[in-house]
Amino acid sequence: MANVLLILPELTIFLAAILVFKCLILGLSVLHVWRVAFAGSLLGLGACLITLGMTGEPFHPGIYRVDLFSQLMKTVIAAALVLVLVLSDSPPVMRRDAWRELPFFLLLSSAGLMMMTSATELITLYLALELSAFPVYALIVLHRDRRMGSEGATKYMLQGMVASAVTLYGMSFIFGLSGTTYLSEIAAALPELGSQPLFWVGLLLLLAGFLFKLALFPFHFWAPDTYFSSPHPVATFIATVSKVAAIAVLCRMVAVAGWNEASIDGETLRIVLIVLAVAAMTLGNLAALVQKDFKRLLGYSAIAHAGYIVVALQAFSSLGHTAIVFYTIGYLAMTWICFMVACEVGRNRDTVPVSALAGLWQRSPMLALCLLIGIFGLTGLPPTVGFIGKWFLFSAALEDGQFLLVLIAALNSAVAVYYYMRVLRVAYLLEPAKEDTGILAPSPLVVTGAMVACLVVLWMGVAPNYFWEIAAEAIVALGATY
Amino acid sequence: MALVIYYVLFGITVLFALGVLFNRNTVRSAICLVGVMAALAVNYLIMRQEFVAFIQIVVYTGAIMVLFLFVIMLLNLREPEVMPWYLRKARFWGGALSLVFFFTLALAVQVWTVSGVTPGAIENEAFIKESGTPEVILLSTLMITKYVAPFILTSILLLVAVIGAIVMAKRYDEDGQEIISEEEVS
Amino acid sequence: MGESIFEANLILSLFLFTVGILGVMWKRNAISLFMSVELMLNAANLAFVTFAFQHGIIDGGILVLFIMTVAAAEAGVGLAIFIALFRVRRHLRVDEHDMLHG
Repeated sequence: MANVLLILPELTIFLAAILVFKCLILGLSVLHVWRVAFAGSLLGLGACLITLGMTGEPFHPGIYRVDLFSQLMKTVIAAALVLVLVLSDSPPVMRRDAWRELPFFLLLSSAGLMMMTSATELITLYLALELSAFPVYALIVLHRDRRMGSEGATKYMLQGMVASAVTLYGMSFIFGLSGTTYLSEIAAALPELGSQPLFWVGLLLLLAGFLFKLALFPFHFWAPDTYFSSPHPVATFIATVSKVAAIAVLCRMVAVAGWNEASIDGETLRIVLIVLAVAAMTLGNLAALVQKDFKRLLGYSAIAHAGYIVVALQAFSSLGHTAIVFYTIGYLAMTWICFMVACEVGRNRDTVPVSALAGLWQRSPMLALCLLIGIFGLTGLPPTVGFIGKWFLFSAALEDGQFLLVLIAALNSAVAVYYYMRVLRVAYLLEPAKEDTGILAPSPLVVTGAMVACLVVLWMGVAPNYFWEIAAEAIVALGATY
Repeated sequence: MALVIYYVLFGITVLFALGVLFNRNTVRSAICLVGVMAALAVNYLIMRQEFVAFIQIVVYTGAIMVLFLFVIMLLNLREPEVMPWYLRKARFWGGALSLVFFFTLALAVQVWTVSGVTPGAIENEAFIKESGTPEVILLSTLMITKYVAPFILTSILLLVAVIGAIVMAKRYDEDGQEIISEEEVS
Repeated sequence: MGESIFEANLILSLFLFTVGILGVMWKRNAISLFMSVELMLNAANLAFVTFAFQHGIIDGGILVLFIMTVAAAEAGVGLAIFIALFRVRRHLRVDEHDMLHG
């Protein structure tokens, strides 16, 4: 019984998915299916909160770990899922027959992502990675514009499969050197393994699949294309929910490999991460400067933010990890706000060019204000979490003595101001185009979600203590494992 | 003798793999891939992994590759693979980098095995004989104890794959009514 | 014999993986690309089995079983997507001429 309680969040989400499937078979209407899914995701969030303080291993020891870190990440995932479902109520940008299937796939993908945050065994990680990806591939195909949907899905799927095959190959090396796929046993054998170059090659290959989900430099090609070609709610899901799980896994892997005193060769991993971070930040920000499509711009901005996160990851310190967990929560809220605006503005459009935001201030002051908060957060301006979060990220790297890296990151943030402000200029200063002058009226649920998200962004920016302490405790729980 | 057989097999696998890469015809490529998979199954047999060899044949060649061939035939992909790789610099450099990757790691494998850090090799056969239980029983026991979480995950994964494939393949008209049978519009 | 097979199999697995990567980079047909990915998965399978053989443990068999399940599921989803793509485009080339670029 205690074991069932430990996996309550995943179980709730999965059962909700099954229930939704049952509703699909029974032929219930879109609204009913959506309501069931929404209630299920709320229950899942509740289950996460219930299990927040629990620690234990529900399955065979060592394979699946429930601790404060994993539960915090699951809570964030569940909250983000609720927010995405708020936007997924019969989106016109999807094929009409796909409206009913949308919540089902979102729930299943979230269940996979939740299992990813807890998995402490390589094959479990790999399977959870695939489980979280498959439903998303299927969802992109269901775009209203069939051509765009199937092309986007093909590109995303092929790149995702290559990345996960590389991950698997890296796992085979680590399995070969240590004779086990359990992270705890690998960590125990690390003093011996650390001197093997093959181990570090394997670890780098292994990280590929998760860096892909995070859209870091060599695996970033998909992000702008996929954001652009996915139906808006699906793009929101990819940009928010799946990032959290990737960050959680990266934190766990680096905690296993990098924190260990014995791993002298961790320097190699660090240098590679630094190079990738610099490349991702520079490339993401420079490419974003010339983008005309809002979702594509957010895609490049996501690449840059992946770079910022790795700046703290390479510090290999609990301070850096805490900063990452803290920033992830804030980043999720900011990105969701921007995508929410994209969903509302692009309600009847297949794509959301930046010019479609013109005159947003007149069309809907509420959305314009949300966009202001979200963009301020992504830019990193006070009083949002973007500023304080980046401050934490960079100070973690500074404490480690990486002055040059922080300088590059700071310069990049300065470049980014230009294209973020361009979006705001369009939204606030330009007159709306003739064809879309109508007033935008988001549903009450969307307004509620937006208020919560804005509140989180501002609250974390003004009074970071509360969230910082939770993040620090979670990282202590993570560090205690290895 | 066994070593000779092994190296012949090695050669066959390499040739088939190159066949997958260099064949311009998709069907021939797929057939070569079947060859690689069958050769790998024999390889597994040489390593005394009978069960793995068996499912390699059944799942890979029997199910996955048949699905591939079926789709290739169904879509009637006649057009040959265009591959002017030597003309395109990006592809050339990609190839060069991959070869560097291959030789570096091959060297690393050599160094690693020569330096003798490998854990002592126990013959698999001896291990199974010692424990006195058939391989399949050992494997299935492992599956529901040590690897129970991936086992649960695979079940969900297959569910997702099945439903996903059905949803994607369904064809609807504009009003959302399912089209049961209709000729492909060309 | 065990030692030499072990080494040769690792080289073979590396070779298959490299061929898979080359295929992903050079091929332009979505199905051929997908077959290259299958080749990479097979390389990983071979590495898992070989390493398990070297360590004298049978975990390799289980791991390969899971990977094959994923490969089968992947083939199902992937080929369904290709059929959807083929319906709207009548070809499966993945190159610069699509709607999506950079």
